[in-house]
Amino acid sequence: MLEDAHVSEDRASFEDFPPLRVILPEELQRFYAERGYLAAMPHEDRAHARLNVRSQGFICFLPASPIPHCDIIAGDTCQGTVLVKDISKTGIAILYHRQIFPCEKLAIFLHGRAIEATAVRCRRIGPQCYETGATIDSIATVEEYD
Amino acid sequence: MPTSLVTQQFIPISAKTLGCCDGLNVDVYLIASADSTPTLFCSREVAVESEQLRQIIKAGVSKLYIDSTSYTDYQTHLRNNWKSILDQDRFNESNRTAVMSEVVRAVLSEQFASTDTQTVVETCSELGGSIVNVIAERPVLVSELSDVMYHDYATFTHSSNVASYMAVIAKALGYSGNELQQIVVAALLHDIGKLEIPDSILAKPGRLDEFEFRHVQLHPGLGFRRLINEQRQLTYDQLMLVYQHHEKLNGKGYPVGLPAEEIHPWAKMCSVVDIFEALTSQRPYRKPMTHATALAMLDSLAGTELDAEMVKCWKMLM
Repeated sequence: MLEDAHVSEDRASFEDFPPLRVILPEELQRFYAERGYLAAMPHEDRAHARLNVRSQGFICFLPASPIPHCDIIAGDTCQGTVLVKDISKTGIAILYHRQIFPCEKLAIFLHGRAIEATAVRCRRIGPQCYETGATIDSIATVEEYD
Repeated sequence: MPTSLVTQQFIPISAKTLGCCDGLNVDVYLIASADSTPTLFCSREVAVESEQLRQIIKAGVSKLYIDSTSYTDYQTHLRNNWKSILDQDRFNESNRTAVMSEVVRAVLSEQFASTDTQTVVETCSELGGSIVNVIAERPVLVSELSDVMYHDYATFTHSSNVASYMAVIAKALGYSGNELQQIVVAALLHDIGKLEIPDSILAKPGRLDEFEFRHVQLHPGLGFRRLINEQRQLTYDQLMLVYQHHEKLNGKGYPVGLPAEEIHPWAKMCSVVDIFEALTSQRPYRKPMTHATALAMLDSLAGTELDAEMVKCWKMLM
């Protein structure tokens, strides 16, 4: 699964992404210029190594979410553009312009793959920048997913 | 309060609640001071005489005592009969806050030991209705409520107290009817995530280390996740109260670190009374603060961490 998620320089399958609304804090701008495996920190309880992905992806909030966020927040939509931060065998971290609640069901489309995931935690990094950690439920190619 | 005896052998119960406990089969004692010998006030074979009870309450006795071995029987009695005990026709107006506080605490202690979230939510909905009935029928001051509450650090005690306080502040801020009840029910459930945090952390007498503190900080999210599948009974607003009650206006709260404008008003309200309740209760690592000290503390947080208008409102309700 880790190899499947390797960043490719190919153009994403989605030509019509909505504009990215995430405002990247200065400290993360440098982060997005780096690549490769992330070292685990001593205080982390991670089961698997994470790989820096740092790509733009497309996100859909699935109707199965227990909180229908896009039905509640006026003007919000059920889809948008995210920055993917890192990915491991079981989890994915993304940056989005608004908070995502725990248990929200997501589909992230990245480099020809559709990754279904469930949000676990969310932390605000800065204005219009929320980092969400999600557990991966499944990965398929976009063709398989359709 | 005669603390030495209480902690060793006897447990205090509300004298007012005793008047509503027909069929309670335990010996009840009177303890005048820490050094005095417990005197049998009423034997288990004899029903408590309401006139006798009225007289000792009038004389300033608010707590009677039961042997610690009988406490389970007392709790069981409250849990089995709480609906009839809280029936408004059965107790007079001056007893209502005391009876409500004791019964809600007892029922919540049982419910919080259960893993059946649906039943917990259903019971809290009924308890919330009872709290609203008591608080809504006449003006109740925070100090009056505080006098009849227990102030230990058990999660069910804290949740019960916060719910009663929330009824008072929410009513003062103009909430009524179904919305008021929803707020109180959510307040009863606001710390349900703490039930997944080990007691060794929650009851630690010293300062929490970074790992332990991070563990405690998980509780709003844990509570939210436990309750989110109960949406037939809980609304989005109620879930936001549970999830966001540790957020701060300056964005330095948890779990998300939301800015003021993104924090739900019910969560802002809960922050005020949650902190007040915590400060004025016994904690493993400190003694309870006086109301004046706790209010001064709230004042110092108003505008930066807490909603200033809500703090102001809370102070007016003392």
